[in-house]
This record gives sequence, structure tokens and C-alpha cells, in this order.
Amino acid sequence: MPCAARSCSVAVAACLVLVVGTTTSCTGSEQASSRPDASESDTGSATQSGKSTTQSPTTTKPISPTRSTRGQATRQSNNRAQPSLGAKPDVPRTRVTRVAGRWPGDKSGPRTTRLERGVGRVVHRWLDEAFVSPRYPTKRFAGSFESFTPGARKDARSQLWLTTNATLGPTLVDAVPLRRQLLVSALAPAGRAVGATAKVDLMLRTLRKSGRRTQLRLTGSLSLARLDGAWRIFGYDLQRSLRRTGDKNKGDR
Amino acid sequence: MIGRLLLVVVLVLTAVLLPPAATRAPEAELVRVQSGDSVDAANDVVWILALGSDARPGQPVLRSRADAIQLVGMNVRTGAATVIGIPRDSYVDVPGYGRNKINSAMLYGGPQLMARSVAGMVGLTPDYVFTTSFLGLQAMVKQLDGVTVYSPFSWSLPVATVRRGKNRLNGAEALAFARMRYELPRGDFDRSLDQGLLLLGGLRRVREVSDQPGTFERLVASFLANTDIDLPPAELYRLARAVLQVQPSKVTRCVVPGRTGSAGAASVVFPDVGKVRSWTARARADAALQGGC
Repeated sequence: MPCAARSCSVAVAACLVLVVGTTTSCTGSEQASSRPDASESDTGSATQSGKSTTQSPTTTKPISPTRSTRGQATRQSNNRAQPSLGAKPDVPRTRVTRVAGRWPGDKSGPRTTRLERGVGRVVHRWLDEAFVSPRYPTKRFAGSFESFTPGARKDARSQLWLTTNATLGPTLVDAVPLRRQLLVSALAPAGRAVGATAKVDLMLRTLRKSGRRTQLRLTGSLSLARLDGAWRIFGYDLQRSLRRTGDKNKGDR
Repeated sequence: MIGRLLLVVVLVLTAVLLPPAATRAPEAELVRVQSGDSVDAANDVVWILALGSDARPGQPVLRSRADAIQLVGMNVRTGAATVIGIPRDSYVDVPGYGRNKINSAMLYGGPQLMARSVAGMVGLTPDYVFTTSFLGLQAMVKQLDGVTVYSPFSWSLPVATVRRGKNRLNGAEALAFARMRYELPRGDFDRSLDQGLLLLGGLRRVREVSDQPGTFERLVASFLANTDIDLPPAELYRLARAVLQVQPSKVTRCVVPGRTGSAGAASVVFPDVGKVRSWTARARADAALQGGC
């Protein structure tokens, strides 16, 4: 639809400024964020199984753990003088997809919500402490396993390269979660969940001191049991992949 | 007019200043992929006594004779396991009842007396006792959508035909496979061997399917529904996850040797107790029977 000459001129002039100043495209209707990573889609990973994303959830009730924004706050306060990846909405998701046994009521009812919260709280706490929220740069990750059983904690500490961001931690200045998703299958033999498998999919964009950006992806499954009244992680089967990402035209490689 | 002119300028500048789309896409380079796993099963080595009750419809499952007696040791750290088949006619000391066939222990004192009798025979006390029935076994195999076994023998019954080699068995066929002895050259000994093969086939199948979302939980629910277990469900769930750590290629299967004979009017097996005790002594700590049976 043709526009009035004056309003078109203003719009075009504004676009011109943007084009020259930031090399960001301007469509007049949808303007991309000037944040470097905002226009980048999920690059994915050809080597990941992606099984957790192929399920057909019977319950779709995302919840936000209590500490879901802690990472953002930490980054903002901790890296004022450092380059930053900027803020990005971090939406941790936990969904119960299947319950075996006796599970009366609606799959999206309060019982399911409690299960999502119980499992989600435990797993997201670990993801927060091990990947998302450390005060980068740091080497301190060994305390990330409070929600693990003693044996699993011991194993996880001996595999910090897998169960935390320890290999990158000392070189990072920022980390932004792009995806944090849990899909939960539970066992409830008598109307009460006693065990669960949580398929985890974490995608974390990181910024190194050198300015290089990487994308860490953690997938796999966690085994949880309700022991002594609390959910505990007693097993894990994880895959971790790392990619260098960046845009040559923005000089970030 | 001015607007159109400006638009042209913008388009030209855009074409000049903006790089082609292909080079604007973020580059991604796979650097490396690493993986690892762990299961905390409280104990790294677990010994389980798996029993199959021969209770007929209407009879109490836990107070009937045990048709299948398999002692399974597994190491969740190494993935090694040892399966020791005990012939049901083994003539042993049943605590409180004198010498008798070992399968009568369940009739007299349920799974707990069976565990004590087995412990007295093999020199090792199992950590857990699981008991299932004919129907329970069939139901669990059905949940697995069948199991594959590699039979050393061929035989045929109205309910099942088993070839030497690879066989895919449904629930009724699996039950027949676990019970058959008349068509086998060594009778009770070979039946015990087959029962170990069936356990191994079940393990393989569980490992195949348990990665599908929700399947592991469904199988554990079926196991709970069809088995008598003296274990809280959460602990069973944890133990079941640990069982998946066992690698079929690291499983050693043995059947307690012995000689057949009579005790009174009963046909019995006099087991080589020294032999089986030497196995458990070797496998007690790590569930691995180095060098075989």
C-alpha cells in the first residue's frame, strides 16, 4: 500500500540510519534485534539424538523454577566491564509426558503440576549451578550436586568435564541459555510418583575472554527417585557437544 | 517523488553495505562430542534371587514350589554379571525342615526360606528375592513385545516350537521355554540353562526398548504388578535402572552341576556344592566369574 510521502521519508530515513550504522536489515514491519545473537537460529547438532524433542507430550504445562532468572541477574552484575552476550529470555521448561502406573485425574491437573515442580526444581537447580549461573570466569563447580545421591555425586564430581561447564568455566565471561527443557516420564505404582526419567536438553551460548563464542549443548537423561521424601538424581547418561559459533562479519571469531 | 528517490537510495545502499545472506548466517563448527553415564545403586554389586513359582490357578504364588531358581549377581560399575541356575530338584538342607528338594523351601516358608536354603547351598546370601508366577512371566514378556532367545536345542509342543538358534518368543512360548525339560538331553540341568537364557533375552530386550520415552517406567510398573518384591517401589526403580547397566556380553551363565539319584521315592539331584561355592567365592566381590564356570 503506498504511503504518504512524508511518513515514508521518515521511515526510510530511519532505516537508512540503521543500515549504515549497524548493518541490520529493516523491513518496516519487523525489525531484528541489534543484539548479535538475536538473529541466530538454533544451529542444532547433527550428532545429538534429539529424542527428547520428538516426544508427543500428553501434558503441556511449562513451569518456571524459582531460580530461573538467577543467571541473568548474575551475568548483569558480574560482567559490567566485560563483553557480554546480552540478555535473552531464559524459559526453563519441564513437562510430564508419561506416567506409568496409577495416576488418577487429569494429566494436566495439580498432581502432575506437583510432579513437574518437584522434578524440575531438582534438575534445574543442578543446571543452574553447573552451567547457567556460575559467576564466570570460575573454576568452582564441585558444589553443583546437592540434589544428587551420594554415589551419583561422587561420579559427577569425577566427571566435571561432562556434568558441569568446568572445561570452559575459567575462560568464559558470559553464558546465556538458549534452551533449557526437561521432558519427564514417571513411575507411579500407587498414585504417587516414585521414580522418573528426565530427558534434558540444554543449549548454552558462551562468550570467552578472547571474544570467541561457543555453543554448548547438553542432552541425555537423568534418573531420579523419590528417596526419603525428596527427589534425588541417582543416575545420568549425558552427551555434551561444543561448537564454535560466530559471525565473521561481526568480527567475533 | 522524494520518498521514491530515498527508497531507491536505501535499496542501493542496502545492497552494497549488507553482505550476502549466505555469509551472514552464523557459522557453526562441531568441535567435539563427549558422553558418560553413571547409576548409583547404593551397592555396586547386587545379588538377586529370581524365583518362578509353579502355582496353578487358585494356589498361592508365594507358597508353592519354585519351578525356576536363578541366582543373579551383577556389577553396575563394570556391567558384568553372573547367572547361576540351580536345578529345582537339588537335594539340600532346608532350614528347619531337614534335607529336601530345594524347591520345597518356598512351599514351607515362602521366598525368605528359599533365600536361606539357597544361601546355605551356595555360600552367598542374596540381597533381594523376586518371585513371579506363570501368568506374571507371560505378562512381562508381553509388555516387552516378546523376547529373543538363542536355544541350544530344538523341540516342539502344541504351545510352542523352538528351533536351535535364534527364537522370538511371545509370553506363552517364553513360559514353555522356561518349563520344558522332558525334551532336553539333561532334563532339569538344561531347563535351568534355558531359564538363564530367558533372563538374558529379557535383559537384551529391556535394554533395546528402555530408551524410548516412558518405556522403562512402563516396564517397571509391569514388573511391580507381576512380581512379589520385598523392596519399596522407589528402591526397585533405582535397582531396575542399575540392572540396565549390565552388558549382555559380560554375562556368565552357569548351572550347578550334580548327579541325579533318588531320595526315598523322590527323584532328586545331588548338587556339586563345592563347585557352586567356588563360583560364588570368585564372583562375590565383583559379580564376574573370570575364567567361566
